[in-house]
This record gives sequence, structure tokens and C-alpha cells, in this order.
Amino acid sequence: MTLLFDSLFNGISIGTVLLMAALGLAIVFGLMGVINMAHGELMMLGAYTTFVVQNVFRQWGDPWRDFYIFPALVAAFGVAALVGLILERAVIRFLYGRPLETLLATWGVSLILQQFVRSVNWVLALRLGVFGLLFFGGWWLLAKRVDWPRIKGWVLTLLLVLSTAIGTVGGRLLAQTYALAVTQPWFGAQNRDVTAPRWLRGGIPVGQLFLPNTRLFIISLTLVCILGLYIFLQHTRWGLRIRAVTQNRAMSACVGIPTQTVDALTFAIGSGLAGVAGVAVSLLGSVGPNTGQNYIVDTFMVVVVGGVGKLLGSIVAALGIGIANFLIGSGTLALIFPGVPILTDTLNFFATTSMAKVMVFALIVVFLQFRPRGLFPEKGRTVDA
Amino acid sequence: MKVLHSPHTPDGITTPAQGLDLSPRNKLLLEAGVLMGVLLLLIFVFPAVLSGFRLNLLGRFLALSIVALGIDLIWGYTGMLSLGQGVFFALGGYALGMHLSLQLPDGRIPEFFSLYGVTELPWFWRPFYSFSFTAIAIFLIPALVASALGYLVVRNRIRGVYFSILTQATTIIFFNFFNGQQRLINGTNGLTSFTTLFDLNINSAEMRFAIYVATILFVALAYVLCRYLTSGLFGRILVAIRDDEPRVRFSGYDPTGFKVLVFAVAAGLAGIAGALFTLQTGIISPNAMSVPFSIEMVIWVAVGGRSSLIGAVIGAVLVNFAKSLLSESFPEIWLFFQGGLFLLVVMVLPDGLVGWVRTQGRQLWIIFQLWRRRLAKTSLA
Amino acid sequence: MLTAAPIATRQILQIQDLTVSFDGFKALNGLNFSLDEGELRVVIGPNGAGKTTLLDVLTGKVRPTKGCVLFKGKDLTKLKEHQISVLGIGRKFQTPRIYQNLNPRENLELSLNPHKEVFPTLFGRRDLRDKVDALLETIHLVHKDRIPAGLLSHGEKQWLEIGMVIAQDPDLLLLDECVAGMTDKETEATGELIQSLAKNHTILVIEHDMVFVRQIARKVTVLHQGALLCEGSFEEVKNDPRVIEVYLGSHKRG
Ligand SMILES: Nc1ncnc2c1ncn2[C@@H]1O[C@H](COP(=O)(O)OP(=O)(O)O)[C@@H](O)[C@H]1O
Ligand SMILES: [Mg+2]
Repeated sequence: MTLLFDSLFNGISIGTVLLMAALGLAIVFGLMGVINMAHGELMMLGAYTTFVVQNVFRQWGDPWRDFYIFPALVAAFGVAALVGLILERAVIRFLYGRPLETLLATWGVSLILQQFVRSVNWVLALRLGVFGLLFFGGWWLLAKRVDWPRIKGWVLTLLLVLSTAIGTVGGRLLAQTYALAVTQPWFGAQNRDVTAPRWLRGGIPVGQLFLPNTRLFIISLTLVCILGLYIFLQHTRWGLRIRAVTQNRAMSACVGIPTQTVDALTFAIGSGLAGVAGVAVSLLGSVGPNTGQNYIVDTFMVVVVGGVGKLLGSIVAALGIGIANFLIGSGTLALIFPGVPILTDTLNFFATTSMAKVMVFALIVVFLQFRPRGLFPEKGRTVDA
Repeated sequence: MKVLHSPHTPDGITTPAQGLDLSPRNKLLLEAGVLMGVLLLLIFVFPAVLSGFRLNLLGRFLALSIVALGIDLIWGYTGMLSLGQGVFFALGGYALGMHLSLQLPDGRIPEFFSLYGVTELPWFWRPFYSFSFTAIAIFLIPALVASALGYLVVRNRIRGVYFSILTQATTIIFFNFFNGQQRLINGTNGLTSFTTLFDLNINSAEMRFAIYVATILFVALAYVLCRYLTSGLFGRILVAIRDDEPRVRFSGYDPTGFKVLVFAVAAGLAGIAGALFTLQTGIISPNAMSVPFSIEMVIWVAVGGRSSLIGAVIGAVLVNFAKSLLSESFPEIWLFFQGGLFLLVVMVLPDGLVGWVRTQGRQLWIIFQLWRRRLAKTSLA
Repeated sequence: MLTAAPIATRQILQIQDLTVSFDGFKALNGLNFSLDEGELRVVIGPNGAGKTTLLDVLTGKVRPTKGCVLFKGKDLTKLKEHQISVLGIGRKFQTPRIYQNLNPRENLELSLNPHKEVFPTLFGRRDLRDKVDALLETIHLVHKDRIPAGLLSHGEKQWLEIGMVIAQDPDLLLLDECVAGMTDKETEATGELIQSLAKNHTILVIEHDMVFVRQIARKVTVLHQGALLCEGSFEEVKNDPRVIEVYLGSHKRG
């Protein structure tokens, strides 16, 4: 009994992290049919933001350092949402209706973000800033000219070359003058550690069990996110618009809903949720450039199993996958079915974290034989028209 | 649904292809001629002009271009974006790797087994003593795995993005699986230190050249196979499935069989590529099944141009040369560059280099024709 | 309802008590319907009456909630789309659905191919050229046979799709609003084509354009709210008070 309860708790706490990561992905997928391969990197950015906020608060000394987590949540949401917004405006909206291409483009973005956190330093930041200012500023200024469409190709090429050149030269100069102070990477390629605040370190004993505070915190955080998202979708004007566009984009556009704004908003919120998930992840282990990659495939599976019709689908799927992963990976299942040697042998074979994923994937494929569109499929005529 | 490229031109100007005005038969002959020419060039001229190091790289990249051909077949023509070709690539590599590891005197087993205290060869290694079994397995094992997976997924009408992320998950799964099995296949370290094949030293210059030539022949073979599948009625149906799969059912076809078949063929090709690549690099490890590598394969095709088979080959070779140049000198830049390449190709060059050359060529041709007409008019006046 | 028919007019299609419900909304509600072999039938009805849904059921796209559909004595409700198509039902969709990146010739070849399994398609030898040429002639697309079909005009796409359905050589043709977007002249030509096809096919036409209906109609069925409202010749149906009410609304009372 304790065993079961213990595994249930552990499974749920794995599941809640997955769920938080998957929520954003699922609403975006429902709305735009787009899978964002950089979603994991948005989580990673959230985790790094936590790391930065923690360091800032640590400098401020005692009463502050224990409460960095709340501003970190806000900052992580903000940073990830901002990056998501830029991603949507700069890339994804041009690929509307081409989901496979979007997949590839966002993968490109995820590679760039990974390398970015590895090598970012003051020089790179300055170069990027200068480049962005010159290139997009120039674009914005020149786009007002009447003959813009005609000169567009040439002007953009020219701007690209010029602003890259100026940025590079500026960076060089900076590097030469200040040397190490500016060429030192901010984070580097190694993993960084976020230490949970003191009040999150212990745990609560319940009977023979011990429930770690971080886990409880993550579970409540997830609950808050779900509740917030639910209220936002069901009881606000923009939530209504998002639901309308999800169901029928053309019709929504006809009744005057600004679908472009809805897309951007949803994408930003979805990305922000990824950032919040990043905070949770940073509490569980160290943070590195590959943090996002560890979660991304599992979150995709949550969307596949849950379907895109309802939030509930994601919830059930995430908890299901989390529990299944833990039960199999920890070998608990093998303990539950003693006696049958073949079964226990097989289960023991899969009783590691990575092998559990193998088995869970097999189960998902079996599940898809019965419910190919997930637990709560999207309905209506547009499906498979 | 967009129309990929139109031969429509204003003013009734003929496009270059029409301008040449070849019958289908002659076009085929022309293509075969060009193919032969390229083959001869690769086999006789390149070895003379390239350094041994570059030639070796070229051989590897040509092996990779076989995977790219398969990806073009399933993605460019059939619309199935697989992010799991690395799995099939690695399966082919492992099949050959096992055969190469078993080039031992009787009774001995590959050295790494002793690390884990394994004294008897695991049963599934046994058939790989035979080269003919290995040769068949290189193609067939990936093809069978792909058929099984493809059938389970495709028959439920799971397609598009769903198919992509399921194949991506498959990659992780195989990666985990192979990584975890030290006692069976040496886990993370993979299979390496191969020495002989057919009792010949695989590192001798002659053998290397033979492998290089074999690679080229396999590329040609794969090209012909894909060309056969994509032309004619069968190819038309693949395109129809890509553009409007539900409609194909109402035309009386069951898309499942078609999709599973091409997926299996692409997987088999990936297996061959993996074997040839392993032969030239001397190692196969679970890294070949990593997610980034599988997705990288797609970009080769995208860069070259997925609306043509030749684009896949060109893309694979070019991108990999760029990679080896960049990651030799600036390892940091490579990821930025690769990410940028994904964005660039998707947003600016959706038909890749070959597509770009085609449209540019067509425009130049039109300008040329207009200019000729003007010339004709002035000379009349 | 299904009384034994005279031998000369065997029923090719029998539908009994057909109900299709989407989350409780009944798009078809206890529909009874049948077609004689060789018949040309026009189905009309206001928007949302369930006409397209009826065709969806007949082609296997939608599974009925209740009821049975017999085509040449076989139950269609258990078959998949492609099996139904091979069995001999061809459908032209409401909005033209042709293969945009294939040219008209290839579109037709794809439909003409007599063996639609994978390997016969791959290895089979067939000479469809003459048939394709003849069909192109019929649908007036001879001069545009080598441009991607996505570039055809709306009317030409409609024709091409009709051509594709004919190419399948089905026993029963289902044409959903096939003259939408055609000029008057094209519409008339389509009417003639349908009438000539009717000589050796069974055809079910769904239509709104009353001029067109008058041109081709022999027997007309009116659907309303998923059920049969009335059936008869064009004149009978046109003057039926229930039909007038459904089409023009009940405000005529005042
Ligand atoms: N897949 C579906 N899901 C929900 N409602 C549907 C679906 N298909 C059709 N309907 C509804 O069924 C009704 C009948 O539609 P339809 O058959 O297209 O009418 P018609 O072709 O006669 O205009 C409409 O109200 C439509 O909204
Ligand atoms: Mg309709």
C-alpha cells in the first residue's frame, strides 16, 4: 500500500513537470497546428532565468535570498514569452499552413538557442544588439519607401552585410579593449546549479512516506498554472477568442477576431508556460544547454496521447505517462507482480529510467491503435476534410 | 495547397525543357548519359585531383547522400517527414559492424565482451558470421523495422506532424535501448576497431579505393531505384498522397500500402548508407541514432531541394563539406550556422538550391528569348 | 418500404432508416431512399439539409449512427473508402478536389488505373493513353493537358474532377453541386454531359441551380432536416406546398 502510494506520488510529480511543459505546446498545437521544436529550449531559458535571478538575490543577502523563486517565476514567464513572441512574429507566422516546415524552422531556432546560452558573453550580446538595431531599424525605415517591393531583395542583402560587419567590428573592438571581462561566457557549456530556497529543502513525512517540499511546490505550481489557464480560456474575452479561432479560423476572421493577434498572444502564453516549467525543472536538477532536450520528446508524447480537443486530455496523458514511467523505471511494477518469472524478468529488464521510456513508448503505440487521435480528439468537419 | 513549380510562362515562350523538345525516351537517355558521365568523373577524375583526406570525406558524404535519397523519396515526394532515419542508418551500420567484429579466429569473441564478463557470443550475433546474411540484413532489417512501425502508425491515419514526432520518439527509444545494452552490443561505445573484410585489410589504400567505388555504385543504384519509384503512375500516386491523402482513398487507392512501402525502401537505403559509412569511419555507436543527427539529415535534402532527387545528393555532399570545414575551424559557429540554415532554407529557399537554379534558369531563358525576339524584329525593320 | 421491384429496374442502392448524428445533432434523421439501376436522380434541399452528409455516408467518409445502406446488395457501412470506390461508387466533391501538382493527364491516369493495389500499380503494364485522350476530349481539356491542375480555372477543375470520376468507370456516380462556379454555357454543356452519361450509368446529382435541375431532372428528391420531404417529377416537386415553404420560409402566410 505504501509502495503504491509512494510510486503514485513520484509518478505524479514527474507527470506534473511534463504537464506544465506540455500545456503550452498543446494550446499552440490546437490553435495553429504547429509543433514548436524549440519549446524545450524555452524551458531551458526559463531555467537559466531562475539561475540568474537566484544569483542576483543571493547578493542582496538574507531575507531576500529565500524568496527569489517568486520573482524568478515572473521573470522566467516573461523571458520565455518574449522569446516566443519574437519567434512567432519573425518565423512561424510566415509558415502558416506548412506544419512540417515549421517543425524544421523551430528546430533550427532550438539549435541556435542552445549554442547561444553556451557562448553568450558581452561581445556576442553587443554584436547581436548592434546587428538587430541596424538591420531591423534599417528595414523599418526603408520599408516606408514607395518602391520598397522592387528594391527589397537588394536592400535587405546590403543591410544584412553592413550590419553584420559593423557588429563584428564593434565586437572586436570591445574584446580588445576589455579583454577577458567581456569575452568570458556568461554561462558556458557546463551545467549550472540552482539551489532551492531553504524553506523548500525539507519535506513532509506522511506515515512512512516522505514528501519532498520541492515536489509539493511543483505540484501546486502546476495546479495554479492549470487553474489560471482554465480561467483565462473560459472566462476572459481573449480566452474566448482563442477558443473561437481554435475551432474555426476562417469564421473567426470573418466575425472580426484579429486572428494574427490571437496567434501571437497564444504563442507568447504557451512559451511563457514553458518558462515556468523551466523554473520547476531547475529545482529538480542542474541546468544546462541540453536541459530542454531531455523533456521535449516526452512532452510531445503527452500531446499525441492527450489529443488537442481538451485541456483535460493533456492532464490525463501527462499524469499517465509520468506514473507509467516511474512504475516501470523504478522496478515497482516488478515488485507488484512477483511470482510470474517471465513477467518479472521482462519488467526488470526495463527497470531503468531510460529503458522505461522504451516500454512506455511501446505502450503509447499500442494505445494509438485504439485511439489514433488521442484521448480527446478535435471534432468537426475540418478534420480530415 | 500550393503548386510547386509551374512551367507557365508569359507570351507563349517555351521553357528550356520544351525548347530542347525531347521525347520522353530521349530525355531518359540524356539523363542516363549524364549519370554515367558523373560516375566516370567521380571514379576516375576525382581520385586524381583530390587529396586522400578529401577523397575519403567525399566517400563518406556520398554514403550519406544515400540516406538523403531515401528522405527525399518519403518527404519530398510522399510528404512523410521522418525524423528517425538515423535509427535505420545505425541499424545498417550495426549489422555490418557485427560482421566486421566477427572477423576473428575460431572460438574467439570480440574483445569488448570480456569487459562485461560475457564469455559466449549472444545468439543474435551468430548469423553475422556470414557475409551474405549480413549483406541482406543491412537492407532488410531496417526495412522490416520501418514496415512494422510504419504500418502501426500509418494504418491509423496518423500523418503530418504526428508522424514526425512519433518517428522522433522512435529515435530516442532506440538510442536509449542501444545505449543501455553493454553486454549485448557494447552500449555507448558501440562497435569499433575493425580490421579486415574478406580477409583483406580495410585500411589499405586499394581497399579504401574499392570501398569508395562501391559507395559511388550504391549511390547510383539508389538513385535509379528512387527514380523508378518516383516516375510513372506509382510516383504520381505518391505525389497525390502528399498533396491530398484523403482524396486518394476516394480514387480507390489505399494509401497505407504505398506509404509503408516507400518508408521501408527509405529505411533500407538508410541501412545501406549506414553500412557504407561505418566501413569508412571505422565505428558505429548509438550516436548515429541521436535526434540531432536524424534531423540534420532532413536539412541535407532541404538544402539541395526536395523536389528533385539530384538535389538530395548535392545537398548531402555540400552541407557535410560545409560542416567539416566549419566545425574544424570554428566549432561554435557550426550550430549557429546549422540553425540558420534550417531557417534560411525553410523561409527563403523552400525548393532548395536545385529549385532556385531552376527558377532562375527559367527566368534567364525568358529574358534571353525576349532579347532574341527584339533582335529579330529590329533586323527585320 | 422496399417492395419487390420489377426485374427491368433493379434497385442499385437501398437506404433504410439512416441516421447520422454529430454529438447529438442529427445531420440525417431516419432517411429512407433508393435508386433504380440506370436512373438519373437529382437531390435538392436547403443548405444544411444533409445532402453532402448523405454522400459522405455513401462513400464511407462518415459512419452512420444507425440504419443500413445496401449497394448492389452489399452493406457499405462496414467498408473503407477505397473499397467502396473499387466496388463502383465514384464521387465528385462539392469543392473541386483534384491533385494540384499533377497535370490533367496524370490526374486522369491515376483514376483510370484498373489495378489499384501497390504492386500491380508499381509493376503493372498498362496502356491508358487512348482512354486518357478520349476523356480529355470529353471534358474539353485537350489543350491544357500538361499544366499543373492547380492552375486551371474553377470551372475547368470541376470538369477535370468529373472526368476523374468517369475514369473510375463506377456504376454509381455521385455529383455534388458540380456546376457551381461555371458560366451558363459551361453549365449547359455539363448538363449534356450528364445526360449522355446517364445512358449507361446510375447518377445521383446534388444541385441548387434550378435552371440546371430543370434541364437534367427526371425524378427529384427533396431533403429537409436530414429526412425525405418529398419525391417526384420536377413540376410536381416545384409546386409542392411543403417544398415552397421550406425554400421560401413560412413568412408567406402573412
Ligand atoms: N463532421 C461534422 N461534424 C459536425 N457537424 C457536421 C459534420 N458534417 C456535417 N455536419 C452538419 O450537418 C449538417 C448537414 O450538412 P450538409 O450535409 O453539408 O448539408 P448540405 O450539403 O445539404 O448543405 C450541417 O448542419 C453541418 O453543419
Ligand atoms: Mg453540401
